[in-house]
Amino acid sequence: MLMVSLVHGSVSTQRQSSSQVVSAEDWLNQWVVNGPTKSYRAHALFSIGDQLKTVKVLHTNRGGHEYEKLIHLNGEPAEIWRRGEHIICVSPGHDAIHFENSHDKKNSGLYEMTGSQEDAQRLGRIKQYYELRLHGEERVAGQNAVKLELRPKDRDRYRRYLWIDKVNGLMVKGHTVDESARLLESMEFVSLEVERDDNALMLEMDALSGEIEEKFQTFLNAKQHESHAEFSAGSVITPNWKAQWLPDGFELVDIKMERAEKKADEPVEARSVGSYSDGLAGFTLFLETVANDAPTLNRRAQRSGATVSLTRLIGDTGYQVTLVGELPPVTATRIVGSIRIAEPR
Amino acid sequence: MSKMSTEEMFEHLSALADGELNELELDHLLQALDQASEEDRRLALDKWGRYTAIGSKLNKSANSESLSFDITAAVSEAVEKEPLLRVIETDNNVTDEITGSRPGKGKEERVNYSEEHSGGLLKQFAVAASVCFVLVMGWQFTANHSANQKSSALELANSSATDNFTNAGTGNVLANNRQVPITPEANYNVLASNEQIPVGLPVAGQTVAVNSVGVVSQPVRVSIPVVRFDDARTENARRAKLVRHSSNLHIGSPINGVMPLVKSVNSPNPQF
Repeated sequence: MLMVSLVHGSVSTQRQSSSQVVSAEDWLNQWVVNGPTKSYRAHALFSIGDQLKTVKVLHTNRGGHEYEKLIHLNGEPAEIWRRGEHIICVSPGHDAIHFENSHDKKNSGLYEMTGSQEDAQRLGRIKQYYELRLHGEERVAGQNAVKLELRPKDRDRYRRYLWIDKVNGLMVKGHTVDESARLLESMEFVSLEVERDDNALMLEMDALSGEIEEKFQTFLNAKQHESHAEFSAGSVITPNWKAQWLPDGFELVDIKMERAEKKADEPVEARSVGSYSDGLAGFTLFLETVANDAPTLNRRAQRSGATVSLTRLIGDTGYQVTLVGELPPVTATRIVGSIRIAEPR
Repeated sequence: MSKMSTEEMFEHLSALADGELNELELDHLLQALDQASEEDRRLALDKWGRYTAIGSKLNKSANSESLSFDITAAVSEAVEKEPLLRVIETDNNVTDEITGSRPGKGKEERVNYSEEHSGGLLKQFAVAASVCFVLVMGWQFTANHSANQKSSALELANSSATDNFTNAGTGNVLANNRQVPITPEANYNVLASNEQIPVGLPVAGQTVAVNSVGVVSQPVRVSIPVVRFDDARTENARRAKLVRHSSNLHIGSPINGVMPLVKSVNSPNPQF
């Protein structure tokens, strides 16, 4: 018992070798704190709604930045890269989508913490809204893993199960389960190689497959010629909107106002994007002005695995709100229904 | 989650009977019923019977070919008589296989966390609601559809007041995870029987046998609402949002691992 409390007390100040880690919280901490620093190569199975995806995962860390590459092995070829704060998503039939992490710590004022403070705060929130439990051990991808349960204390978020590999502290399996105990989505590593030397991994990450390479080049060329004028501060419209109801514990972690690119296939003129998180689950609200001739997405809803996406016009204000997130549909509907605009266009 | 007031509950019931309740609202309603007092539940069932009786009269006069007989009253009556156990066994199949809008439980046994099962009356109600919901949806689809038939074989009757809940990446309503072919005449005869849904794609006009819900005792002609994928520009906008959300979540809540990123690559548009 003394041992246990000693380990408990010191876990936040120094990294524990995995054999000493005892509580569900410590395991979670292992994954959140050490996971991003590891280099590994894995094959994983994802089951999302009615889709089964097989994906090769490469992950490493250079100079405090995470590098990641996900290669879809079944279905149409698709790849996702992450280089630190940049994420690029390439799949056939679509333009490449580039995303730059909008968690701009200096400008937003929302993130003025160091990485570890952030982790600690996140874990604190998780503990507040989920009950953490340990469910023994299971073998996953040839490794012994501990099974954790994160059981929500209310009905506004989904239950999760995470399996953390005991040797490396990596999440090797995960389940998301709804209120009536249905499995909505799951992921599982089927193989895992942890690398000490990440050079080989970096080389592997830079290699592109044929079709993807072509797509990526097109994307880069377009990027070079892109005018950023549309995003200049002067043209930003800042709708004054407010969610009258939010589920407990979901905090605004990021908000951005922007003017949409003038593209023929984008019926939206301006938008405001707010991201909310309870430390684990998250949703994003897109408040947009809608061009008069745009096809209406009003009352459209879509669900895939645990992710719902729904769109509503907000009265006759000329704005529409879209929620995308991992929330029970009832909760999502309620949030969307509570959005109000202070000054209609 | 705040509790729905009794008045709200009845309003939702009325909306359901009118076919104006989307699936999310239906979920909300069912949850409210689950938490409601015995008295409220009894009142709710009473009201439901009345609403649907009115609804069926209206539907008859609406000259709908597809809703060729009155099922609603039969449903509410049968639900009252139905033994509880049987309904619990079959309710998932009803929602899964007819609307296709709930994540598949299917015939295969997937990981089962079923520790929590909610009350019996609720289940009975859910069955009735699902059946009627589908019927009403079907009727709406057909009514809308005939008006739009000229524009495109794939045109969806999405102008109704209901949310069209599709499974991302498939673009049409899934029956038990199988694709329903999209044709202008996508009407199916849903037969009440104890047979399983036949394996393989149903074709237009084919008879689809659905697990018995124990309440439908004669053939019901139902149009399964066929949901068109959004057109290219709305689909691109939707996809961009998904990527945006997923990337944000991946970086902002690293505890989720790579799952959000994997999801940001949706299946490409179906080729039709």
